[in-house]
Amino acid sequence: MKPDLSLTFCGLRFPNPYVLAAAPTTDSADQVARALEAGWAGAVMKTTSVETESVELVYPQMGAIELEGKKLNGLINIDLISQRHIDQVEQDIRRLKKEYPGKVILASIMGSRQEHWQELVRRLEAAGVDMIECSFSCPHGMPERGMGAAVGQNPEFTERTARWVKEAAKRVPVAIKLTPNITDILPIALAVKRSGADAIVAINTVLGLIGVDIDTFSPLPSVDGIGIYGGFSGPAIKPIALQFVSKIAQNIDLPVAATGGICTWRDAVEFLLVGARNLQLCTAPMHYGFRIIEDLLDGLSHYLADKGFSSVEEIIGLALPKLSSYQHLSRTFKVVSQVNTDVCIGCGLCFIACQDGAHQAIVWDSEKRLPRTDEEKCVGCGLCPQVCPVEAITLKRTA
Amino acid sequence: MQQKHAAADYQAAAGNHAAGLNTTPRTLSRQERRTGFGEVEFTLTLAQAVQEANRCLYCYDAPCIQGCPARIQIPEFIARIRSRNLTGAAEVIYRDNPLGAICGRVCPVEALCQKGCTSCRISKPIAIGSLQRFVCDLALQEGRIAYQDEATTRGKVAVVGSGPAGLSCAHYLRQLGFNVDLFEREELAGGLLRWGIPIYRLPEEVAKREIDIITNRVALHRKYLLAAQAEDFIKQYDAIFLGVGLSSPVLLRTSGADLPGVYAASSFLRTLREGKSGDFAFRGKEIAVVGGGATALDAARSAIRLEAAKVTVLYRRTIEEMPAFSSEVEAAFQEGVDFLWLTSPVEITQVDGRLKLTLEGICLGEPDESGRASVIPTGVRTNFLADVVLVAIASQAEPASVEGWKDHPKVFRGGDLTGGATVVQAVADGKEAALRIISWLEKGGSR
Repeated sequence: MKPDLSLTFCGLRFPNPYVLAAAPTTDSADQVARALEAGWAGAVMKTTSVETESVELVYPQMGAIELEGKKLNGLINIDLISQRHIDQVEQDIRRLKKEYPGKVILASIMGSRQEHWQELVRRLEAAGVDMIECSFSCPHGMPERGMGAAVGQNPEFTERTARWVKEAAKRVPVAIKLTPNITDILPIALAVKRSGADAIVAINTVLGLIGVDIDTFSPLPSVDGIGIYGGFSGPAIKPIALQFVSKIAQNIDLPVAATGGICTWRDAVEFLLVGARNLQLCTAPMHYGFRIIEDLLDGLSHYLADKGFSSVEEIIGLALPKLSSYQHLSRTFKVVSQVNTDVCIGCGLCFIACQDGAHQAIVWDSEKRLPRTDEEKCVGCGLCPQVCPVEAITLKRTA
Repeated sequence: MQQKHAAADYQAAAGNHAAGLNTTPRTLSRQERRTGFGEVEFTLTLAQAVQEANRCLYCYDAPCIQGCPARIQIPEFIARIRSRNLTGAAEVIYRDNPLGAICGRVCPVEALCQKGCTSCRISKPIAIGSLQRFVCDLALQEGRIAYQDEATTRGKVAVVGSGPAGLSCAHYLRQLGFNVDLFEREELAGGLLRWGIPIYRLPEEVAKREIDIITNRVALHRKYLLAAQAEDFIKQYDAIFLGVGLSSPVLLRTSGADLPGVYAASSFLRTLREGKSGDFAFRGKEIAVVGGGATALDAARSAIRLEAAKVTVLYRRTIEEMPAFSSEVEAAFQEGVDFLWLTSPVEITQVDGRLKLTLEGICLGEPDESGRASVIPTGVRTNFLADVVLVAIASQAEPASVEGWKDHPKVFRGGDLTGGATVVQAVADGKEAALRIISWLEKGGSR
């Protein structure tokens, strides 16, 4: 039997965990309609604002980090919230709710004053939105105007603003999207909890500078020779997102929607295991298109079936009890590296890594071109399996 | 998880994001190769080269280096392609091989550097030859090759023969502070690079560029140096390097070997390099090539390009024993060269304006002293008709250029003369001889 991929988040039924994050992928009803047709459970419309808020964009906005042949390991953007104001988003929501009643349509909002936040909420509720997400997290551009991450970096502002939104929302749940550009997420997450908001979305993009043009000395992306810091997203930020999501899930009694570096169903499973109840994607569909939903769905479905789960709900948070602190790690557990010489291709990368970057515990037979672990010297640090290109090295338990 | 998901490879596929980019260089089609002498393989693009360089594992104690007679630090130049340090990549190559662009084309990489490539054990070898060619072509094109030669304070050496061995020896000696007199009997320096290798494998302008960079830094003398002058030379120079190669073809000893229409393959190739392909009206003709080495294959593939109707290589052993390198044999197959194995001509006669070869069947016996299977004639004879016979059974040193040098301690030798079989081996020999000369002189030599 096919596992049930649907789950409940803030009282709303999602046909599957995959939602498009507020981003360029959700800046029109037509785009979102195509995504929903393709199989996405829902979408957060790109962050909107009241009609009087001016949004001036600059171009180009994107940059990527390349690593050994793969171009887009991480994406940076200096985009802002949507230039389409609430009047247009209201229409989008009416149309999408009518055409896709089984899907979940969320709206993301940003305001500079209480009246704006509350007006946005009232108008979206009237348009039939399912849920409201508040961006307290945009890392570039908006904070200069006291918006975005300027709110989400301050527990007091976070709580106050979230309360305004919560006050105005009569019917729909409210989620607060947090920024990772802080030293400790917990005071902010606790502020969200105190405000009465219904959920946390983590994380927004990581503030970064994607690169510098070494010919022109312009920081990138370069807007007529000048650059600024941007929001970094995609595969490279997944470990950061996993850390934030698991920490919130472990410590705060609010449901969490995860976003940040989710590209494949494997990433999705990991975020569910650390407690996410909902998954938002942005960079991956920007890179490969909405069609990736097919693999995201059937990969997750096959995984659950193979593991004997009947629904995705069953795996949420399963890794959390195993996430601890340093003092609780076993001091008696010992492993050593072990080379499978049938698989080894003799590149010597483990040898040089151990020699220069670890404990000089791998012996190199230059005649046979084979590495061997000196178990006396090996502390089991685990560097060599990471550099082996063919999975020839495993860690063997010795105590 | 037991089941293999297509999705499991998603990240891997994403890793090969640019994998849509094929890193195999563009090559001429079979049809294009049958009608002209254009270079078969193209130089990689920058994007292709970086993509291919990314496949390199950057092995410790890399086996590719051991496979390179010149000991180019291959993983080091490939790492520099990866970081787009293309000047650095060229420096790494030219440090150990002053004929980098030439060797990137003519090296039998499948038998040398790429043979031991660790990647062979998981997929296909890194295209080291193509990468080297890419780096060197770009560096030459942009004029980035500038050697820092030491002042000429260390002595004077004569280098006899300007093939790859002589060029390499002259280059390193000059770089390390010697006055070098380079002797070449032909109008142009380069030896085999100039008159042996067909232009579809080594275009003249590529050969010229790298040769000129060396000859411009030494004194090049156009002179046919007879070994009889050896005594004078030994008096005049601190040391002499002899790299005169094997320039004299071994001819068939069968009757009819001197008939019109029977040529030494090396003379045929040389005439082509001189730009006189018009001397050979091969279109529509049937050509027989006798031999199984590099020269035989070069001659057969050149005949194809002259639009011969049929080109057949006659070889007395099998494909397994052919001295030609497998990439050459494969290319010849692709271009439509036929092969007749286990056969040897015993007589050539003229019949109705054509040549009739009497071929004798061969069976292979126990290995002989060369380590190859011995050749045993079966007595079974067949006839084979051809319009032209090109003979490429072996080559030897010209007696006049080697006899008389004796084993004087000042005389050093290298290249094909001492058994080398490849350009890169000759380069390595020349470099090694230069270093031997220097260390011998440092120890006082013997004058």
